[in-house]
Amino acid sequence: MIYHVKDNDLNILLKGKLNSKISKKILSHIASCDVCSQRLAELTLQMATLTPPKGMYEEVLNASAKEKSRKKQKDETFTLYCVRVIAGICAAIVLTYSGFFKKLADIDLDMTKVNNASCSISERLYKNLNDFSDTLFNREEKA
Amino acid sequence: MKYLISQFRLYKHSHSGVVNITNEEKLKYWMETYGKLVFSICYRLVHDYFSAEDLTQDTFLSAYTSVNRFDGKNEKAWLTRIATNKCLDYLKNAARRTQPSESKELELHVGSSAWLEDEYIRNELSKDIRKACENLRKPYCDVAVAYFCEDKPLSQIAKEKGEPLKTVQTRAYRAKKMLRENLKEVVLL
Repeated sequence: MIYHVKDNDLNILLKGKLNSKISKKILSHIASCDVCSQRLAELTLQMATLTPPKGMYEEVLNASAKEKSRKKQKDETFTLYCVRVIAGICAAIVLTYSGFFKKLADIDLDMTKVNNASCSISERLYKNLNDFSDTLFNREEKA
Repeated sequence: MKYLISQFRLYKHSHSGVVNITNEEKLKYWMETYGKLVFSICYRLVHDYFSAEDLTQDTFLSAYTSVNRFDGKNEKAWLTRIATNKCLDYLKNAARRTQPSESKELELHVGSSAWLEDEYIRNELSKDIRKACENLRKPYCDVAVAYFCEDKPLSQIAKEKGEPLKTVQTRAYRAKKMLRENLKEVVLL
């Protein structure tokens, strides 16, 4: 069963005579109920209404124009992103099926040279360290 | 009035599928038709003239951005719901911001609720707003009087004063902030 706020409570709410806790409860119900919001609108119109400053309308229109351009920019950025992703996927498919990666894998790299180079460096390091320790021992013996 | 009638016709046509009106036209129509209602609801719920103006602006802007989700059945109730939501958020945030020492004063203020009486709204509120605007220091006083009391848009004020619109907008923003405090004091007195 759906409960609605009584007119009397809405009137008290509009006159600001409800405590804040109950007001918030009622407001959260009105925020999701068409019947109560319609009733609140009608009761408000029966009371003294206020006219907002006319300049406010211009401010809202300016803000809406900004919002529109921001949304447009966002859409354009998203479209560009989609185009880039699709282009990337297409390029990947073309490269895969054209055998580019296979050709790349077939390139025979002479890795032995690299290994030799690394060995020679380690060997040289090892030799240098040995020489250094020999020199130290010799000096100690002389002393 | 002519504008309203034309907008109303456009609106009716759009609902019957004859003419498609843009979202900007819908926004203008809503503001002209429900501006008073939304502003009054916001004022009566938050008890602050200047915050009510901000909330009214937010309400219409939200309506504009979420127009595609609106079923088009009952726009008065729909706008009231948006306004209520905005006010609820404002009240929750205000409660969070309020210090415990100030809450007593606020409750007292709410309890009296004199500034929500119809009599006060009809006769005294506009006088209090003008008084508060005139009490501001220069140059905020001029902008506030022109915007809130003489109903001039900010672009017109900027043109008349020969100043950049951004400057006038900043002054209006600061004036509103000062007025919020001043008017609270006036009402409490």
